[in-house]
Amino acid sequence: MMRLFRWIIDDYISSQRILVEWGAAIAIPYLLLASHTDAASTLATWSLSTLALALYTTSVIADIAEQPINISRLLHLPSRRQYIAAYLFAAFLIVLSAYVILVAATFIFAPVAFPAWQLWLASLPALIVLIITGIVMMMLLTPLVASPLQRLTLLAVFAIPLTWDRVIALLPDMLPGNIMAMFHAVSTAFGILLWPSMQLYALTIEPHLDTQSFSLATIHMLILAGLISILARWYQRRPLTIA
Amino acid sequence: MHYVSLTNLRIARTPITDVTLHIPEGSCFGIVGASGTGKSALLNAMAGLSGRALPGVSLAGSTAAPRPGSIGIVTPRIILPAHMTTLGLLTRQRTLLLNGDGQVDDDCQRAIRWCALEQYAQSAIGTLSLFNKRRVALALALVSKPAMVLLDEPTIDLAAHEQQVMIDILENLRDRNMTIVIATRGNTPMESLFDQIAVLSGGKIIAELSAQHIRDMQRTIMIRTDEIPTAAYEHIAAINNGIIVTRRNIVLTGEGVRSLAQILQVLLHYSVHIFCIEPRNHPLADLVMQARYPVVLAHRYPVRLLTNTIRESNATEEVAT
Repeated sequence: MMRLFRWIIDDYISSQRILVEWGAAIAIPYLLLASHTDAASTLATWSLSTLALALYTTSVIADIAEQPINISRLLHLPSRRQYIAAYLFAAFLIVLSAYVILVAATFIFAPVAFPAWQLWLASLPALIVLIITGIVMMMLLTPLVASPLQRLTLLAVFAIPLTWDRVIALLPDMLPGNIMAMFHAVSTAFGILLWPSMQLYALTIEPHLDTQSFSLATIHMLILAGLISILARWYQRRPLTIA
Repeated sequence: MHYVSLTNLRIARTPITDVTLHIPEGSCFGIVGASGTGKSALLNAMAGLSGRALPGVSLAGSTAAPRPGSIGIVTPRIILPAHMTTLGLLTRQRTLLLNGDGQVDDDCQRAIRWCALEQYAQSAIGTLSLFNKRRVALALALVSKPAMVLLDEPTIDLAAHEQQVMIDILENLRDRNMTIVIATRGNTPMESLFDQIAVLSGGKIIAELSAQHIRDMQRTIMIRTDEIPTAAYEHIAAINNGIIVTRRNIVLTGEGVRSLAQILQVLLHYSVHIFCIEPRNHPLADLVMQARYPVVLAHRYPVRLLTNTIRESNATEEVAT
């Protein structure tokens, strides 16, 4: 699996796809942080842009993993899990490299907005968990792993609680009360699933170590373990095509 | 012993509804059918890519997933990395199973030799022609010396002379005790490759052809000549019923094809100038055409004939043991 992982990284670099991530990591501090002086907004920009890069990189990596030439490598591996794990690790490493460049570029372009080293280091564990969750979630949303129905369901889990308030404003009394109540219930239920991630994101901006943050990280790790288990199960069953 | 056994196979979201097929170990097996009949889906299923374990699929006598490296697959969909060299790509693929030792080099060189790619070993794949890329893809499938190679339309989009070279390479592979399964829509005259053929239509195998059937398939050959003298005309027409002679053309069908050498001797004897000798039909393409009328084809080449033969031979072996 390590050889496959190394080749994925080799291919990603030699095909120059990595320039998108690294270029973005340089451009973001130059364009968004150069005029800032606030360390909190720097940490928020880092978190959001790294998460966005994680989603982008994972979608590209999933597309690469779905190409017949790469699926043919799967025939040389003992299990599908090794294959998907190699691609997940590769996505994580690429995002991490972009994050390092992002931090270095901020140091160069926006030294005033650069947070204290202790603050930055304290925000790192939460950010790493958030990146991994983003990568796993995005992988679950790709055709490589999930069927269209599975992807739609998963998308609803994100989209409904995040956009519900705006959707409600567009639907003035068009639906009967009981249907609206049902939508509210679904939105709340999905919102509960998203809540730990939102809290973890807040933790990357204002990092602190206490019982609450520790519990939050634990809950999030459990959710992440559940997501990885779903990913492994879905991918195991997914029909692939070379011919 | 059959290497692949498919029994009442149905694959969801593909045209395959009920396929029963037994592919003997070490044979070259053709799956012939029109476009969209599910040939590729069958190959994917044989490669173990269907996800869920499909009931009715057994490889090398086992229903478990195939051993890593035991199956090679070549399809026109495979796009090779342009920046790598042939040897580099093969080495990378081989080292997925083995550490980088002497055996890796030997295996890569062997795959290159089998696909006649010696002069392109160090070339960047991006600089190669489609035909050479297709051979690199074949070498990639062969580099781990798999027990079975699955080929989907190996000659599609190739020029006629390139198709012949590819068929020649595949003929050489057939002699190396490898199970070869080729899916084709019959656009290339490669019937000489096959030990057996199954015709796929409507999600089922509608006909099976044994080696004898393949040999006996109807062929038509046309000889274009200068004007044929009356004496030669009469001589040729008398040879057998499968020969149609006109002033400048001779068409051989059925039994007439077997008299080709004799006809050529007559033409040479009368000093008739021969412009060209060309096949006028592709038996595989004819099979695909005939698959539109499954009842007729099934009557001519009954299904389960090969299966029964295999069962009988297995039973004989068991009795002998």
